[in-house]
Amino acid sequence: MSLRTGLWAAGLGLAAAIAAGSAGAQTPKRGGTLTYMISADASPSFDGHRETTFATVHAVAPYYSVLIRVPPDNPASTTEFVCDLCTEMPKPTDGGKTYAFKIRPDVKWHDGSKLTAKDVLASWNKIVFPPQGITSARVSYYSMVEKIEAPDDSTVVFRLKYPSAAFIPALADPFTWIYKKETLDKDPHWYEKNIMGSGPFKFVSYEIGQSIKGVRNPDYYHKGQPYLDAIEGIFAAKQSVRVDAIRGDRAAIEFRGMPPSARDELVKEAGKEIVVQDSDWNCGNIITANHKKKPFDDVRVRRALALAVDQWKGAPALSKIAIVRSVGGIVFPGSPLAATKEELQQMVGYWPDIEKARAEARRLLKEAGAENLKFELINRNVDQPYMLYSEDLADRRVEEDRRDRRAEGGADRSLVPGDARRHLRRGGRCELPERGQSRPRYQQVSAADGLSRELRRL
Amino acid sequence: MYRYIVKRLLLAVPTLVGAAALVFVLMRLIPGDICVIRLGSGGAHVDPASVEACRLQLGLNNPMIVQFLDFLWSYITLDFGTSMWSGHPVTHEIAARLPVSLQIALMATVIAILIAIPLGTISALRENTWLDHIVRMVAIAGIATPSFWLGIMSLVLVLDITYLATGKPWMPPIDYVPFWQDPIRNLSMVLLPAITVGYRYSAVTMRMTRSAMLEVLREDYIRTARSKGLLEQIIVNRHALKNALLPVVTLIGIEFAFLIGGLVVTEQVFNLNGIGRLFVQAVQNQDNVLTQALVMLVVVIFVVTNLVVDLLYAWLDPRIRFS
Amino acid sequence: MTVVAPNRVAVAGLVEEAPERKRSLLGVALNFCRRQPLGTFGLAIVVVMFVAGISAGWIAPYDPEENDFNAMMEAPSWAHILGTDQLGRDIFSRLVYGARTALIVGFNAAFMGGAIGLVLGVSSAYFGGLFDLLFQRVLDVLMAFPLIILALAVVAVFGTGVFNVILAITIPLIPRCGRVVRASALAVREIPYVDAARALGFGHARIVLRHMVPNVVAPFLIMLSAFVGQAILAEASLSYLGLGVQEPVPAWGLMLQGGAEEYATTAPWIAVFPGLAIMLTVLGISLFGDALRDAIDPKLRDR
Repeated sequence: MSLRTGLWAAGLGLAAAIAAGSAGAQTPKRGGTLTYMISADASPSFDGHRETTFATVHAVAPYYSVLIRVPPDNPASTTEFVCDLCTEMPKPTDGGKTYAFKIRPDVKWHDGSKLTAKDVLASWNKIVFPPQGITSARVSYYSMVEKIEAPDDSTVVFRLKYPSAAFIPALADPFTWIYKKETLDKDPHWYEKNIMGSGPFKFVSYEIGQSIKGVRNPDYYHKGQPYLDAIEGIFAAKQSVRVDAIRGDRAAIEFRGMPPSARDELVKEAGKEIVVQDSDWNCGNIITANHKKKPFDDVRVRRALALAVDQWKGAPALSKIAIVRSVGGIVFPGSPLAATKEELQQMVGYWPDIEKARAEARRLLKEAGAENLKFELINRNVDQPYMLYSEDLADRRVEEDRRDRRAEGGADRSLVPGDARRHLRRGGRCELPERGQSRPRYQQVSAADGLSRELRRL
Repeated sequence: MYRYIVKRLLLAVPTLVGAAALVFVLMRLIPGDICVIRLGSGGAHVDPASVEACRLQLGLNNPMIVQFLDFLWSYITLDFGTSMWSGHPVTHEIAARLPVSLQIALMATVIAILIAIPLGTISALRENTWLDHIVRMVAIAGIATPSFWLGIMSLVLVLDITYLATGKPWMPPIDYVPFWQDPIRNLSMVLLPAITVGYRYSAVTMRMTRSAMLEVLREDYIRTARSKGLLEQIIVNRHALKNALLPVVTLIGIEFAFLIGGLVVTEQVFNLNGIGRLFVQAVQNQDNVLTQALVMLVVVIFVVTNLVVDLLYAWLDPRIRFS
Repeated sequence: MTVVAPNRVAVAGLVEEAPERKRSLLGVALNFCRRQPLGTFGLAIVVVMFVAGISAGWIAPYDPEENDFNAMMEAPSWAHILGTDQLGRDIFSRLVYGARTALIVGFNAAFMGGAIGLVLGVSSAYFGGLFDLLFQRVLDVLMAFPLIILALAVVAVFGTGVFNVILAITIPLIPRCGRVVRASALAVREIPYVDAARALGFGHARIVLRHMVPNVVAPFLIMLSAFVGQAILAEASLSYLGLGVQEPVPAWGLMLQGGAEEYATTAPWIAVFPGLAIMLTVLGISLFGDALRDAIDPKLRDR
């Protein structure tokens, strides 16, 4: 393993970054095997359309192509999108309601056959309009899509119900892999247990629950890429294992992030052999309550919860132990969509004077008759960065029985190893980044403004 | 003898059915179900209809008694079902994980025996000397130390020591390769967890060896042998140790059976893709089929080990006759 | 096949008890200390932990749940003698309060499991017949589950938290106790005075509780001390898996979870001290248990 790069890619270091290999280096070095750590347990299936955890993307995305993506050499950008399978980003016509993509003619499946617009169409239809019995995790992102068509073998047209700025960002979702139509027609579940794509790497083997291996795709349509000969991803849900693995040179990289102290230790020890790539994560300690449950049905209570969290002291404190740093709203800092500090400080929950905010919170709670409000917050089952972006098993499974039980003051019944559960303690003081656990299960916020994409990037 | 084995195996049937019933009931008492977890993974859009379809497909809507009988019947026909979580056959899921766990358990047993029996014997022969005290303290410390903590500490120590010694930190490999593919890589991965588990195991065994040995050494026939002027070595090896080993064998057997389950925590520390970790995941995902299969596996291992221990016991002690 | 040894325990326990009663309590204690220095050492550890647990509020310099974001992951110093964890909590204070959690869980689980096992085991031996047969089969089933696996399943059903963890550890301990007690009680049952009591027309409950239970107390006590240690370790394991006591309650196993592992290299004090606390406590209990056994039953020394 000649390549020893502890790349500390945050947030955006998704599959695109893997494909790009050592993006950032001026002259890419060719060859070698990259062993990387995947910071989660393996997901139940290989189907990106169905799965939602980043583990799926980290593990399987290198074997697939997508229609469009965030620029691999500038993954932090929130406004730029580039083609993967298409030839150029289309200009919308019909008042912003029609997008016609030209598909590259030189794309081959790993089995040697030619990829056409029919395949793209079939895959996107599966994502946007899943047939009976097929789960698609992101249907709600594409609520603006009316129809998808493939008038010929090299064109895919998306027709929207209404113009939406959220469409293109949603289209660049890293889970929207293109599957082969012929295979889908035979068995729509085939891709849950098998991998056959057109991406930069060809799937070689999967050690169930342990690791996944691939080799370079010599026919890759982005000529000259990928730089690596082979890749191996190893699943390790525990942060300590991943850091140790990079330290002991058992793996070269992880694409998520590690605590600052571990990073510093690695840099200190390995010196120049290690490269750290760092981008900003926003630290938004948001409490999401189930607004259908008492007392959270009262807007004053929810407002009080937002007011009680000290965002401005929380972020710097957390930056010592997690990869979060900047206080952010929902969109992460640096995006043109993000609120500036001044704008943020005007918003409820981001007031600079925490005493004032908490006084107001108490007043609101009193007014709502929920003075001694007590509840439990569930944190995510991922050790870094203890962030609120989560929508994972931990939350959901607790949610359901909690929704019924908490009202009666009953015990929580979650079974989540490693689940860090924090109480919001007396006086609404918050200990750690938390997220509410009472998200309504079957209600999905629609991707009306492109924000939910940000929320789900992870 | 064969009649005895058959009888023992028949006696195991109620245990197996009881264990099956217990795990079946426990799994269904856990609030929530796998469909919601699987389909809604990551806050996905899930419509109640597909949850219903999933439940229907997995047979979760059948009456409990039907589900239970199905479960028993499938085991009788040796069809262990498919994991509700991944859709792979359960046998496939387990077969991928069993080698690591089994290898660690076996190696831990070997380590335990190699350490425990000589030390326990010496300790008994030198009763109440400083050597004895040290051995006893080491043994009690072994029982008192949480093995996962030992694992965490040893991993860090290995990294730190190799770093200080060579400037390049070294750690065991993190992906399992079978022994016959790459023995060195395999052993360097498995050794550390085997030692962490083996320490506790050897501590328990050491204590048992010592006390059994002490008891035997006070027996009349040892005194007779000594007064006959027999060589101490012969007394110890041929007379004392052989008899003292009886309870030790039992203990090793029982501990081994529990080891497979006891790896739950250790596998977590070393990121081993073994049975223990699979069990935690299966319970967490509410994968009833997989959890049941794993529990039944552990129970079967327990039953079989017990039988083997009893047979071994009889072999070691000719006084015991099967009846 | 385990019938032989406990049998002897019970009888020996009987014989030993009589002369002991004549001496004063203090005399017995002093004698114990003189004869069992290691046991006394163990007892001292247990006593220290007890004192720490009971008077945690006075001993601990900080609130164990209080975060000091200006002092996160600080190495041991005069302000924080064992340092702080990754959330800026004082480790010493958490250890002291953790002793309370450990002892509550350890003793409650051991005593509840022991008591239920004792009553069931003795009754089973006393009544025999169908009850005994059924009881044995149930024991077989429960015994076939490794402790941690059964505890895990119970936690999955009932949820996490101190009370449920006690429950989860109690349940697997019951059959372990029941089996040993039953074996020794079977031996006691053969002793004529039980027949005599029955002949006098005493009720079942009275015979079981007044006549049989006291005579299996010796092996029971020895086992109980082992159970406390086991229960503390099991609690630590469960908490380490995230399935035991939940944050922010200070508990040793929980202190080893998450942060401790992550920072084991950079801030080793977070991981070292809770592990030492667990080890020391269980060591103390085991040493004391061993000495207790030797004192009660010299014949079974050092088993």
